[in-house]
Formats: sequence, C-alpha cells, structure tokens
Amino acid sequence: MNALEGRQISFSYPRHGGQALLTNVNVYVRRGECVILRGPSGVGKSTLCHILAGIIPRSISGQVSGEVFFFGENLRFLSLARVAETVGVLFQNPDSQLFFPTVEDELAFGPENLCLPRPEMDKRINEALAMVHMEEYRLVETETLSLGERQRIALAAVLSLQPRILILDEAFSQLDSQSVSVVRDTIRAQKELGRAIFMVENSEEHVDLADRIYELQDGQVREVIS
Amino acid sequence: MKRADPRVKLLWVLLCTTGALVFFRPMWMLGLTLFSLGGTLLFGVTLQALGRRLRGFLPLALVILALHILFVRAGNPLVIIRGYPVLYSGGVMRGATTLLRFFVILCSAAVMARENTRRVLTALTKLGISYLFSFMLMIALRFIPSFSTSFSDALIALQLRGVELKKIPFGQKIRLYKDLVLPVVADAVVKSKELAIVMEARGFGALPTRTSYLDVRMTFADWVLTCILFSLGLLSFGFYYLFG
Repeated sequence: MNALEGRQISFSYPRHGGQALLTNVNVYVRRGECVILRGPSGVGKSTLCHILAGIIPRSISGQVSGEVFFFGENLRFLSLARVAETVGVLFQNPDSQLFFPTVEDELAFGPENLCLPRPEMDKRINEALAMVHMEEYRLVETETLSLGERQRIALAAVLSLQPRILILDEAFSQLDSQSVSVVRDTIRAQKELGRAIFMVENSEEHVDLADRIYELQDGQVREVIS
Repeated sequence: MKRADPRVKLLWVLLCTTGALVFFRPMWMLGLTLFSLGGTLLFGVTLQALGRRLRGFLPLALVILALHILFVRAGNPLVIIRGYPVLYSGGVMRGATTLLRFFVILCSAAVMARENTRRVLTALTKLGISYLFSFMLMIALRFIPSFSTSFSDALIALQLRGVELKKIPFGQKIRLYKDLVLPVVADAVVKSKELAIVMEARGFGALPTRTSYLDVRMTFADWVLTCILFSLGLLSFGFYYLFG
C-alpha cells in the first residue's frame, strides 16, 4: 500500500479562464521513500503539493478532480485532525509559518490542537528540536532567529505532530549551508523512520536524497529517474 | 512582581485605563499617573524602555498640549497680549491632564508589551474568554509591526528608484502614500492567507477543544495583589464619585 497517492488529479484556477494547470496527474510515495518533484516555475508544483496535503480545495478554492489517498484512505473522508496528524507540510517561506513569540510555543501549537497531554507534548518538542539540532533554542524568541534557523524551527513544528507523510515545498530555497545540511540529515532520518517524503526541489544538489524523481511540465507528471 | 500572573497585570491595566478615562480632575490624574508609573516599574519595565516608548509619542503629545492651550478658553487668563487673553489656566490644566492620560495608557501598553503573549493568551482563556478570540487578538497584534514594516519597505523601494520623498510637495506625498496603501494591504491579505493555511495544516480548529502546553497559575502573592488592586480600585472610584 502506498503512503501517499494522487490519482487522476486535474486542477484549474477559475481566474485563469478554466485553463488546466494539472491534467490527470498520478503520483505516489511509498513508506520510507523520498520522491522529488521538479519542473519550471509556475507549472503547478506547489499547487500539486497543496492538493496532496488537502489544502486545495479545503482552504484554497479551485476546480479540482481526482482522488488523494493516505495509506489507502481517501482524503475526502478524513477529518482535519486525522489529516493534520498524518501529513505535515513545510512551506517555502519561514516567515509565514511562525506566529508565536518563542520556539517552544511554536512547537507546542500543533500538539495542543490535537489535544495531546502535556508530558507527550514535552517529549515531542524535545525530539523535534533534537532532530533539527536546535535544543538550546527552546526558549528563544522566533523573531531573533536567522532565516535558516526559522525554517528549521518551522520543520521542527511540523515534526512535533509526528506525521507519517512529509510534504516539503522548496524547503531548501532560503537556507544557509549549515541549515541545508541539518534539513538534509533530518530528511534522511525521517526516511529511516519509515516516513514518506514528497518534496518539490529543483536544485541538482539534493537529487541524492531521492529514491524517485518526477518531472512536471505542461500539466503532466512523468517519472524521470527510478 | 515581575513574574506576576498576567491576570494581575490585566487587572492593573484595567484599573489604570479606566481611571484615565474617568478622572478629569488634575490632582486625581496626577495620583493615577504616579500609581501607573510605580506599577510599571514594579512590573519590570525599565525607565529607559518607557522613555523609548514615550519618545515616539512626544510630537503628538506636544501638538495635543498646544491645541488645548490655544483653544480651551476656561479659567483665569494667564497671559494677555495687547488686552487679548491668549493663555488660560483651564487650557493649561486640560492640556496637562490629557498628557498625563496619554502617559498612563502608554505605561499600561509598556507593561503588557513586556509580557509573553502566550502567557496572556492562556490567562485570557482561563478567564473564560474564548481561545479563538484571544488567539485572533494575539495574531492581530503581531501583524501591526509587520504591516508597518511592509509600508516602510515600500517607501525604501520607492526611494531606491530615485524618488526623493523630502523634495516632493506635501499634496503629492499624500497621493503617493495613498497609492502605496493598496499593495501593502494586498500583501497583508496574502500573508494572512498563508498564515491561515499553515495554522490549518497544523490542525488548528480540528477538534472542538484543545490542550495547553503552557500553564499559568495564580500564586498566593498574585491573590494578595489582586485583592489589593480590587480594594484600591473600589475605594478610588468610589471616592471620586462621592467627593471628587
């Protein structure tokens, strides 16, 4: 059974005159596998990520067809709580992902929403911070962090939910070299833990992380490297 | 008192700001100002930090003082030029009272700005205020600086393109600012949309209830302080209405 699967996904934004951005796209990611999606700017890579995470059509409107499955369960029939604990999404811009004064608050937000007890939250916060090598930043104010550190904290905030699927939308694009190395290590560690990882990445630098590579062009996805 | 429970600080802020709105007599305002200043320092705000906050409001405060002095014609004339009274005691007193009112409100803002917003959020929730409302308030307060940063970024971008703001006539400058407002507002809307998506992706609103990692508890000292503030509030407002 695939961890994440998108079947026959088509999408068009109403404001673009109904012109299709994605047409009958099929993608899948197995447990413990890292899949990279690449393609030119504006072809719909982020849109595909949003559809696979359920953000489209729940939060962003658009004409979407096809089905998304998490471990064989249709996303359409899953509650928001189930979606949040199954799939974690890391976006490109760290500034729009942090909204609490301190790192600890930021990491606690997701587990609090899922009504986890305090000892469990504490354990998850510790683990997530250790994963991104930022244990000593627990009580630091997020505004004082560099862009790379903020992105690592945003990743830790996603990891504190312990999702079984990770979707990373150009997560490396604003990182310094030290943060790139930490995020790469985190991705490898998550793979070893059996998480399914779907990431949008155009840089050749990170191809080694991938088990398979998809290319998106003219609304179609094709597997270029297996 | 620096680590006092946010609920105690909120009560203190409530007393100070209510007093600032209710008291009109100069001596009462002076008393409230001293009470506010004392509380501000005890709650851990340094004089330097308060001074920095006041400096930003100084031009506005001076304008308000000048307007009161010039336009309030009450009390005894203090300065008479060629038989025409230009300065009245009532105007000076009213101006001074308004300045003190500003000071009290700034003191309250300084105390709350020093407090961790998450602690305030938890305290408000414990007071029975809906988490959603408190959270929205917190996010809105965090958005204000980002809004002003976007506006100053837009101004810097304009200046980098060769527009010298200092040399532009006032009317044109106002038109320029008006044109900048729309993209800045649009940027804020985009940011808020991104924020909403991230919050939802992390399960916000997924369940009817939520737990809280941070806990705030009233200590014995907090209860004592609350009792003192309550008594002080009741006494002072009572006295003001009866004898003020």
